[in-house]
Amino acid sequence: MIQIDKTTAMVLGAVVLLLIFTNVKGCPVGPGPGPTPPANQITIVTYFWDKETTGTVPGPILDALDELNKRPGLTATNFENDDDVPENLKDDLAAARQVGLPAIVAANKDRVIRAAKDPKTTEQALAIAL
Amino acid sequence: MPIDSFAPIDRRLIDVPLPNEHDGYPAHFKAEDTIDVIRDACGDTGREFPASLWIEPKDWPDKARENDVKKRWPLNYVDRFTNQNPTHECTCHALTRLAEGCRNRQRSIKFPDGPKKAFRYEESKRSGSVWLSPLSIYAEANPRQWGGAGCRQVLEIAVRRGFLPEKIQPRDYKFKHDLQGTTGAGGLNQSKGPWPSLSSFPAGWQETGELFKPKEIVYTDNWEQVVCLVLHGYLVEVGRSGHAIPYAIWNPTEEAMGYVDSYDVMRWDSKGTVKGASSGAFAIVSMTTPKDWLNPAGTLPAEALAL
Repeated sequence: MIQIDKTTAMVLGAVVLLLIFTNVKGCPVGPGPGPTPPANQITIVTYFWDKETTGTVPGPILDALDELNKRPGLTATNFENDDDVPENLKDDLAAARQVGLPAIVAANKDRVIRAAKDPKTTEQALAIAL
Repeated sequence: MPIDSFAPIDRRLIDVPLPNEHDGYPAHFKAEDTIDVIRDACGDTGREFPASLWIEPKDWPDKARENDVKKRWPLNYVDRFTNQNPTHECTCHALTRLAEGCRNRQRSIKFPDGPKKAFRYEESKRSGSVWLSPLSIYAEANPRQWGGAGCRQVLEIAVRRGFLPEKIQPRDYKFKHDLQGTTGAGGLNQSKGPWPSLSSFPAGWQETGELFKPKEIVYTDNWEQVVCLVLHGYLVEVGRSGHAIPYAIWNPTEEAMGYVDSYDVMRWDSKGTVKGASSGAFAIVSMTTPKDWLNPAGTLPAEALAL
């Protein structure tokens, strides 16, 4: 019978586990980048509005944005039509202007996913993130 | 406790006179803070109350009821109390509530029960709420520290060069420049410290001030417009009876206006007091927007941004 000391046994066990997990799909080992998020994953939702036409952000939209903010990994905000928009929202604002303000835009850090003009209800606004 | 704007109000909390020694908004400042003066203080950021925000008084109760259910009061965008006791910093405590509430409204995060004494919301950390220092404005408005300031004065300073963040924040933003919030009592969510002269502000502080500037102010002509702004979810600063405060909720039953007092407590003004206070009232309806709400100064490394 082969005798193995405790330390050796632990090392061998770690190696076995390492071999198992590197062969299981979707389970990265160590400090790797992890699974790649889908290209159409929505992480940013922005309601763009214009004070001259919309007046203020409608209550149902604020309700929807607050609800969306409870979802992990998603940031939902509102922004008044202004060229002084942060750099990372320029494409989103362009998409909103294209469909016509007010509009709600779903995006991620790489691209705009979709834009919808003038949602009236909380449900319509939430639908942008489906 | 759910907010009920129709609930009876404890009489002891209505039209509360502060001790004379707490006079941070003396009568001569009140006399100066007219709508014309406020308009000038705002510069390009100011605009008159827009017709689109008008709500007929007969519809105020329905709107209030909706705000109760949906948590749309200005109060629902305020995540902390401050405590100025016994200083004269009231105009700036009120102004920072307006600025913070406006940022939180843009960020679209609600705080279900409004501010609560000695309580910190998890949502404040999650959303990237930033707490702004009243002293960062007051130190310039009144270098003598005692005697208060005018609402026009402090608004003009904030519009011109912005606020500095407080030393206490709901998360570590690694601001390059910050400042104690008050020389008064402070609290769980407000830093306190010695009086800072403007010349003692951290070097280069203007850079951080640029990140927290009002972009748009709406000023009012009458008390009904003040109520309309509050019904739409905007905090409104007013000064009266030696004290400046931010209006945050309207009670249709009592016809009284609740405010987030800078003494860790909610108090109320009667309709008569609201009418007298509304000259020179204003709301901040837009603040500068960060590229990343969790990294408002852009100083955090990527790995620090995970919750």
